[in-house]
Amino acid sequence: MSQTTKTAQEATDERFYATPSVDIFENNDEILVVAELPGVSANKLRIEFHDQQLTIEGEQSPFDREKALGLEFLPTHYRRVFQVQQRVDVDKIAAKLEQGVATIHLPKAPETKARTIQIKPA
Amino acid sequence: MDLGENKGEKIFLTRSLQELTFPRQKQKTIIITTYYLDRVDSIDSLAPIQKMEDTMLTRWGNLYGLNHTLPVFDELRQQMDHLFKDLERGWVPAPLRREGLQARTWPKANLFDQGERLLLTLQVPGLKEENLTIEANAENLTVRGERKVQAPEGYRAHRQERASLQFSRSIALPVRIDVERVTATLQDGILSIEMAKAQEVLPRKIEIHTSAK
Repeated sequence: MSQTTKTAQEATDERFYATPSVDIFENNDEILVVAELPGVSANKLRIEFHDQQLTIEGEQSPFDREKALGLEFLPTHYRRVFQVQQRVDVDKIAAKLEQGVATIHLPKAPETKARTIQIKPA
Repeated sequence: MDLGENKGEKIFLTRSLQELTFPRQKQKTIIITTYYLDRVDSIDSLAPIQKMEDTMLTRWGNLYGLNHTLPVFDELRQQMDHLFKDLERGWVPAPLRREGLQARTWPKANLFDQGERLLLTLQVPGLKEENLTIEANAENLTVRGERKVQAPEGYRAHRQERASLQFSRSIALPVRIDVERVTATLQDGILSIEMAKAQEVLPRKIEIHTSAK
């Protein structure tokens, strides 16, 4: 019997992941993440915020490579994880996907917003 | 051949000049790939790289493709040349930039043979219909486009890997197409162009006549 059983440590993810290009912006109210995910439809895109970690994962629709005359890209599995320093209002996270570009709004938790403190004249 | 030149703020760099002879067409075609890059002083100022590629004509077989071995080495050699040239000039070498190799060919394209049609798919994330123009003749197809990426008003940028860009990419098609029957769709940042092959290149069934006896 030469059947191998994969232990938990051995059972690694054998998939190849591509890193999507990302822009990150911030203002007083929110952090804005813009990720480039061409070929990923909305139902194949997963955005998760857990434990101060933002995970963006998306899968490109497969295509028939048999009929290809030239290939410069293959169906790709995108994945990128960011550690977010600021406290985020998790319930108000919003995302949209337009022309293969995902825009993710991470509103800051009210207590972390910068406030200008008025100094009262003595 | 490489020419580096300062034009005001912009670094003007002609990347490659290749001469090709198409045996079938009996004519020479010169391919010029031009890059315009903004001067960068540090990694931090790299963010919005203005990038322009002007590929006049690429023969399909010469593209940096996954299933063509030799052009891959050619591309690699070119990249090594540029790496050293950039280092000599004190630039941040292109392969070390954040967008890495992806910037070399933009947009990335796949070409499929679907029998009666050719299908070209291009990755153009962030581009809308109005930012794209497609021109075709029987043998070549050109896609032009422009994308502007700006930090939204009132936001500061922590990281900018997506560049504003302007591109023009021409592809010499393997067979003649019927220009009247070209359709294009844009979905999820993928531009799909379907081109009906010209009638004369489609296989025709030849009737065999039996001589009546």
